[in-house]
Amino acid sequence: MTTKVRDIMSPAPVSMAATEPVSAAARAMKEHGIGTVLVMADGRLSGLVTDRDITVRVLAENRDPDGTRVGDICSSELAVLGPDDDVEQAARLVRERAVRRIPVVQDGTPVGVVSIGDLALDKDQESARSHVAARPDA
Amino acid sequence: MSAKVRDVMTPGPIGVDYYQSIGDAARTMRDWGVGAVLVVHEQALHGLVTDRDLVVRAVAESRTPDEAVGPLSSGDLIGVNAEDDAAVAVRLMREHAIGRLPVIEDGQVAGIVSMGDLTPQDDLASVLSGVTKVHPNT
Repeated sequence: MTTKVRDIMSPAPVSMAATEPVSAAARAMKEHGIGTVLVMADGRLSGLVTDRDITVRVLAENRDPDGTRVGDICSSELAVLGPDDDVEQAARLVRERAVRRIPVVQDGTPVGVVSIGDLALDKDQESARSHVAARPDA
Repeated sequence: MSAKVRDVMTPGPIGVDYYQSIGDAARTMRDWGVGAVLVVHEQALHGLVTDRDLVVRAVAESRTPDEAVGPLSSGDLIGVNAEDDAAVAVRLMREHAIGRLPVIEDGQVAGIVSMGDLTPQDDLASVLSGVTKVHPNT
């Protein structure tokens, strides 16, 4: 059976408007125990910001977290997945785009995030059943 | 053949002084392309600070980038031996729910191994087979 993205994604992603300050994103990451906040502009997903982005693009640059908007620092070259995509598709995107987290979008609305860690866990479970992970091309 | 921690770690541990600023630590992470730096206090290893720590313990708490980074670091370090199999590092990270471990060799810190080192994006399969070896019965 093929595992779908919806089976491994972290559901209920946290999102905020591009005009919110970076400090609000940091507080959301702390409160929800997450490393990714999706960024919305005009009601559409426009990017994502990670804890790493805040370190490299705000702290390292001496920018003010209260005065910098998440829209100004977010990564906007977005790869997205649908909840019914195969997990293999997710793994391929992670490799090809060299990204660690991919938003999952359904009918224009973010419904989850898949991380490289989610993929590893899925493979772990699968390999116990069928030894897929031992396949060199898996 | 199973990879040793030494083979996958980031060698030459990168450190900051306890009293260096949060901004300095962020720039060090940026410039070296790493997600964690060791914190040294009076020439002894005091702890480890990650990019995420800077976000949830500094930005989310309204600290400014010119404050000392030392208080943000996690003490109580769990280390892994350079000679251990990479799978041991995976297990330790899982058990303790942490993403990075200092690597110890001859009583000295020789590097840092991160979850990212263990899940290189171009070779997910080899890592996953390592993960499988750790938990053969799950």
